[in-house]
Amino acid sequence: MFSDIYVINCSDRYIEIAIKMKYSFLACIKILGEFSIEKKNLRFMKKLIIETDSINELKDVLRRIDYKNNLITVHPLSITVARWCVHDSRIDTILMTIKNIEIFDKKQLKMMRNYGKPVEVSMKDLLTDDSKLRGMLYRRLNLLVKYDVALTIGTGANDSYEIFHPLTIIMILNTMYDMPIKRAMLALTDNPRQLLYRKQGGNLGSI
Amino acid sequence: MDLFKIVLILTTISAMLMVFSLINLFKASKLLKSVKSLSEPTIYEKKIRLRKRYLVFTAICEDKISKNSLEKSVESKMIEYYGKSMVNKASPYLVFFDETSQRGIYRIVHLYLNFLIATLGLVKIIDGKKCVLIPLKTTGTLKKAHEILRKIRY
Repeated sequence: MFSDIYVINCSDRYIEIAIKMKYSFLACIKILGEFSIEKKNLRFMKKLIIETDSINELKDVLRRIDYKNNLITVHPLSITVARWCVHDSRIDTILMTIKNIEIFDKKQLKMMRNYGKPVEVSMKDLLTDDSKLRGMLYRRLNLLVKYDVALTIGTGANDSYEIFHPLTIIMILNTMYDMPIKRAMLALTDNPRQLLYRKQGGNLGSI
Repeated sequence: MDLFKIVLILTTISAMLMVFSLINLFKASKLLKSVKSLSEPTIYEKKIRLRKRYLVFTAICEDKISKNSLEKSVESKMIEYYGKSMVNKASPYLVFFDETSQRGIYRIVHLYLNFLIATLGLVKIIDGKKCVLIPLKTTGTLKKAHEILRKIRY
């Protein structure tokens, strides 16, 4: 039912806990160990994050990688790259972090709404200690709700103890960032599910 | 012709006076209303009855943790993210914690249940050990919470 689209290391222990927490889809950067995926009814996908500030470099990387079988996320470090990413169908999500938060202005969000491109936010950034940055995130997340832009949340977990229960993520978004519970739910359920649906060409299988 | 001009001027002046008087009347009525509201006794909203909620949770940790350390770390995280005044109002209390099965029951005021669930997610280290706290179920009575604790398999 729930999806975590940003896990750095998918170990056996992590997957065990994720199944207990009713996660049904994980997008991992590294998959460690051998795990019987079919038995546990959990789906995986390899995730690639491209961090760049030039369009040419991004185009070059996109030409070389297998974007059909991997979840492609771009971490844009300049406005031009961020604007370009919106209308490229090879890119699945655009990562919003503390580094590039200022890029996400009204114009960017309106474009993202029109092209149906989701914003990805990591839990590590949401729980930053800097109150000024948290304020910036608060404004951006509320703008996302206002402009009806799809949001996806990833835990950004390195090991099994950095995993978050989906209910706690929803409540963190609701209590700390005043996000409506329904929208927070969508960020963990329907929005990542649609990404997977698009990747598999309209065939979702058992999910 | 002169007479006509005088009449025209007089009518415009009278129309303007009418408009001004209407505006003043509107203002006066507003003022009257505010004065009246001052004289009326204020109606206080009905006070919400604070109910208790019991949250059953489990801890997955590197090593077994004690009740005191868990309570301390949850409270400190709640203060860190939501403030001391909120914690005082919410009054979270660890009613029961089984150190063998690493499961427990937290009690909180019903208005602040969401804050407690969020805090359980924020706690990542207890007593120097890496931990994940998972909320399982919420109930209204302690009896039911104990029943769930016995039945649930996680």
